[in-house]
Amino acid sequence: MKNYIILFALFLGLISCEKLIMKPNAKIDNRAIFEEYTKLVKEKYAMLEFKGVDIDFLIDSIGNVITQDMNSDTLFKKLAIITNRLRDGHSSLIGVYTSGNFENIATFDLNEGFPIAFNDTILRNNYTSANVAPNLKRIAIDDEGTSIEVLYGFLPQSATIAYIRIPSFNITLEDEQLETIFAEIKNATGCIVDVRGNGGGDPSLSTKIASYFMSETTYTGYERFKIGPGSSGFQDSPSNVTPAESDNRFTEAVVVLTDRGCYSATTTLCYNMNPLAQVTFMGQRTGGGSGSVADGFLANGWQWSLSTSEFIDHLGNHLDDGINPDIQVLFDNTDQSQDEILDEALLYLQ
Amino acid sequence: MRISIQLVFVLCAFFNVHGQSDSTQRTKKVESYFQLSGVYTSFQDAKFSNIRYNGIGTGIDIGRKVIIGIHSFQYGFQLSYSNSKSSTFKLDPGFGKIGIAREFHPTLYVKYMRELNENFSVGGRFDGLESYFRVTRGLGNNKIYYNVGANLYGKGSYRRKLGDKWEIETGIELGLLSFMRESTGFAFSAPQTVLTNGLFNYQDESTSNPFGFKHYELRPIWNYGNLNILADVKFKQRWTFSYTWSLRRFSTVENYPTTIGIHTLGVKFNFIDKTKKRRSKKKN
Repeated sequence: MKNYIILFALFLGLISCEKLIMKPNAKIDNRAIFEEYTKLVKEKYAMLEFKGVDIDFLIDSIGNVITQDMNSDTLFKKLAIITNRLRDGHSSLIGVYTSGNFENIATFDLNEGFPIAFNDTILRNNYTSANVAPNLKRIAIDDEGTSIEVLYGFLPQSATIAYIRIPSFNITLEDEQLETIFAEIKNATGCIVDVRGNGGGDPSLSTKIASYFMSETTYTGYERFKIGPGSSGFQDSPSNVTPAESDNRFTEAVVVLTDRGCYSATTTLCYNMNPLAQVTFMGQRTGGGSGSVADGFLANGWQWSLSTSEFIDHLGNHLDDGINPDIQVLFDNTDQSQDEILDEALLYLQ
Repeated sequence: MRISIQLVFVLCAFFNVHGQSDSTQRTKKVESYFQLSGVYTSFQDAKFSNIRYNGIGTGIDIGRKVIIGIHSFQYGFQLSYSNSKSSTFKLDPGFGKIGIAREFHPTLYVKYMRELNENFSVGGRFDGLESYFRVTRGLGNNKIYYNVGANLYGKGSYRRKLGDKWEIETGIELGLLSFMRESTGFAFSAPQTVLTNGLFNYQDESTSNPFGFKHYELRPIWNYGNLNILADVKFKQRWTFSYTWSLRRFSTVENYPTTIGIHTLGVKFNFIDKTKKRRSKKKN
């Protein structure tokens, strides 16, 4: 009997064995949450230097006012100072979810201080809706419950200049669908790629689309990843984009329409197309968001996301604050009859 | 991968040579088995948080064991599924169960054992496809975590009969070599080797595909802690009450280890049991 008791005790011991070699479990008091979040930002955020953020100063100054009796709302506001200081749309802090709503959100407002350069209603009513543009083809795709349309073909305003509109990269476009799109516009004299308002999604897809405009392997810059906790813990991954293996690659003149809503994977499209001589960017400055994102939970359940890499283009430019267009065009949101940026692109390519 | 496969063949050949010279009368016994289990899991990826996650779920194990004389060969497939929650926070379940992770742990395995005497056996195990996947609701790029690979273990076991009906068997499987990849690097959802070697590329699907063997790493025992402890209680050869503790601990980034523990408690039924006796020629 004694032996069985020993065996049973050993069995119970095994149940918790891995806990003995794990790191101590995260704590949830105010001080621990502050330290957990600031450690994440200090170790993982890839652009402290570029953004001019003195994280040690922030840790010292904010850390001094963190107390254990502080309520969670006040603690969130203190942490949000750091989040907002990063000025990065990829970096956010989200508080507890209650009754189907977020209680607190801290993130950077990309559009603040920038003019509007896109109005979907104006675009549809005057250029792209089915009754206005019968020669424009459509692929309806689900984007997390919302149906969006990728448009390709020709606008009523020009029978020779092709138009491609991609409102999101948070979609799946099969290789066959991409082939269909580029086969359709193959004989056009020029092409407008309209990615205004495209907040990003899959950078692999945007890179694949960019590769259709290339005739040779193109060095587009490098992505600098955070690979270790120290301030020197970076490694560059060079980006050499190879052209799509297709007979339908498009190497005529291209205008890419941009606005502040072009973000994340759309920036990937932009930096991949920027080195191409036949490509012109038109509209307004993009939103940026050049880095790759990591996310997770703090020990109290608050959700964080941070840019853990940065893309630097083929000319050495930092892109996280956006890319200026080659030709800046103002957009009049009060005039419901025309899209000045699209009109300018059509004129430019003619 | 190639090296791991070669090692298995060498191991099998070694035991085969030894096995051919020591028996003149052999007993062949074939068991096919099906096991239903409950699983308890623990997970911590210190690269992103020290939060410990614990999960409860179910599992199956289907396989076949062939015993010829003092040799036994076994192959099978294990799968467990569990729901894992943080040990430090509980979120509003009404909001899409954010923070809860689903865990999948499929394994294809083969084992070889050789009896040293009535009680002790030694041998090895090879997991051709051993994977641990986590899908965490509410996260973006870090939503999917996986650790996939092939593992080679050395194994030892102790068996003892308790009367006519009962038998106990305990064993230990110690990972010797692993050919693996982990989905996350220090700060991004790509293998650390891809990032440290400057190989990240959106046109290279092998950077994100779990089965992109190009970015697998060969890790020996001192770089990849992999351990299974097994305890079986057998009743009348038909039933086995089985407990397994699988532990994995490794660091793709120094001082930021990943630890995965899976406890499996199950009931196994041997639904086919053939016994044949045959005389074989002694080989020298």
